[in-house]
Order: sequence, then C-alpha cells, then structure tokens
Amino acid sequence: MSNEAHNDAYPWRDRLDGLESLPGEAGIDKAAAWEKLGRRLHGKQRRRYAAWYWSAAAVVLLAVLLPALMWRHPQKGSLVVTPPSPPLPAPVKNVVVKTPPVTPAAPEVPGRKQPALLPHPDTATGEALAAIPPAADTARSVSSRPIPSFDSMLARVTTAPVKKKIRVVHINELNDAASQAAIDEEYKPFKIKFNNPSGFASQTIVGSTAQPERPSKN
Amino acid sequence: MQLSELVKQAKRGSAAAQQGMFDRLADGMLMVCRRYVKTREDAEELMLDGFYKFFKALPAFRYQGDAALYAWLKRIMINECLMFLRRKNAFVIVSETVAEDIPLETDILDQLSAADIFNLVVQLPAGYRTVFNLHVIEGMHHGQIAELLGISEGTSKSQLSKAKALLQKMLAHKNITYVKRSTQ
Repeated sequence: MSNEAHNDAYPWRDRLDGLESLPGEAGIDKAAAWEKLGRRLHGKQRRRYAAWYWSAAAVVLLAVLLPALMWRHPQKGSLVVTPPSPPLPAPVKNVVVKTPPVTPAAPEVPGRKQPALLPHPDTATGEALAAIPPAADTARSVSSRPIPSFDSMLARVTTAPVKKKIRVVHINELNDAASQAAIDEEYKPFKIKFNNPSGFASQTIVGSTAQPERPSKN
Repeated sequence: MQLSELVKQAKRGSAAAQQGMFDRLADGMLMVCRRYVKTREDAEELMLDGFYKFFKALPAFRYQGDAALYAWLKRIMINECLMFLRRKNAFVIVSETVAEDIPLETDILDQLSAADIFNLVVQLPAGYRTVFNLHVIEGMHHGQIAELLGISEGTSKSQLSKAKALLQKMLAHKNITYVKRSTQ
C-alpha cells in the first residue's frame, strides 16, 4: 500500500499526525524541559572537558617535576666515582676470631631481617671492610663503600643464631633441688602439693619439658 | 530562522540552535508519544529521551529536507515508546491467526476533529492502540509491524481488526452514525 493510497484510505491521518496540542490542555513547559534536556546533553560534555583539563595539568606537572627528581637522584646504573680509601691499618697477628658456623645462604624471605655481613677473617678485604667505620647515611654509604672482590662475594655468608644447648639430665640423676641448682643455673624448683594428706609426697618437676608421670589405669 | 539553518548550527554543537529546534518540534513529538503511552508524564519523559538521542545522532545526519528530518525524529520517538511499552509489558498480544477484516468508517472519522480522533485512539487498549497507530497513522505494513513487535502478521491483522471494531463501538456510543450523518 503506497502512502498516497494510505492517505486516501484514511484522509484524517494527516490531521491527527499534525496535531500539536489538545484544546483546553496546557502545553509542555518548554523552558523547564529544555533545561532538563540541556543538562543531560551538555553536562556530560563539561565533565569530559574537566577531565581533559585535569589530565593536561597532570602531564605538565610531571614534565616539570620529573627532571628535578632525576637531577637529585642519579640513576642506579650511573658510574659513581669513590674517593681513594684511607690506608689500611697494619694486620694484627695472633688474634683469634671466633666465627659462627657457616651455613649456606637461605633464600630471602620478605619481612625477615637479614643478618649483618661479618668480615671474612682470612681475606684482606674482610679486614678492610671491618676497618671502615659504619656510615650514617645509607645513600652515602652506598657511594663510599668499596666494591668487594669476587672471592669475598662468594664468601658472603649468613649467620644463623646459635641455639642454646640445654643440658639433658636423666631423672635418676636428680637428687635434690640443691644439686639440680648446681647443674643448671636457671633451675627453679616447682612443687606440687596435693590436698590429700595421705596422698603422694611432694613431687619435683624439672624443666617445662619433663612430663609428669601418669597414674596407671590398672 | 529556517529549520535547515538550525540543523546546521546544531550539528556544530550550538546549544541555542538545539534549543530552537526543540522549541519548534517538541509539541508535535509530545503528541506522537502520547498516542502510544497513556500517561502524559511518561510521554514527556520519552519525548526527552528521544530528543536526547536525536541530538546525539544529529552530527551524523544528512539534512535532506524538513519532511525527512521530521520523519526521522518521529521514528526515534516511536522506537522510544515501543521500547517503553515492551519494558512495561504493556501489551500482551495473544496470537490469533483469524483476522476478520472490519472496514473502518472513515467517513465518520473524517467528520471528527483531530482532537476527537486522538481521544478515541488513546482509549484503545495498548496492544490494539499500538498496531492501529503503526498501521493506520504511520502507514506501516503488517509485515513490518510483525517484525517490530515480534508477533506474527496474522496477529497484527487481528489486532487491527479488533481495534477498528472497538472504535466503531466507541463511535456508536457517541451516537455518531451514518443515519445522523445522512440527515445532515
């Protein structure tokens, strides 16, 4: 059906289609409606422009600050010229240095405090390292610290804390509190008294690891 | 200012030109929306949504005359209304393949004013009203309507027949008959 034929079939169609308001009815408040629509149309645009302004400002700020920051902190890969180290002190002979047991380097655990690097006794570099006074500033120490030789790098070890050995005493060896005190200086007698007078005699428990004797079920 | 000039400036993003277009076209578009949805508040919201989409898509629009612009805007409004009705499940159209062709007494309607016809049309149930609007007012074929609403062609035809029958009843209720017309 063509439009012309359609119009012939429904001649009132154009009148209905062209209707703009009903008689006796208030029209639309165009100013209010446009304000609402205009806010939707142009509000987002303004926000988009604001985002552009902020990003441009951030780029300019970075461009200004970045050279200043780079000027203050030289890059790690740059060559640092260290002043010549002071003459080493004469080696001291007949000095016995107790070294802790050497253990292989454990993998670094985050949050775990690494033990201090001890100077290696056998190498001259170790003594040289020991002779250098501790620096206050880390950055300064990094720049003034002499680069250790390859051997000393290999000898870099970690020290594990030495476990305190506790002397194991057999129960039969315990005679009284006084003798125990002689054996172990940290010994503290601990007595358990039972309320029942006809019950057991007082018992002495040595150490926290000693298990009290359980009464047999039979 | 001519509509073509307003379109040109609105395409460049002129808010004043957009407002000028809105002022010129808003009344007609509100009536289009009101033919599809019952409440005036819903119609106003849909009209604003339609204008929003219209202005967003305007830069890509090639102006080919006022009639083309009006037809495009009207199509946007109708789509908004149909989406709204679909969201609200306003028309539940039962499939009916039997469609009895009821001729609409166009002579009687031709005697009525546009406002009277409008008031009759908006009293139809949503399903009848939608198909009647799309077929009679917008001039769509039943195939197009079926595709647009997701119904069969037969259902579209039967909906139109029922809409016409209901309109006849309404006209009869208003005591507008051929007899009355013939006596005039």
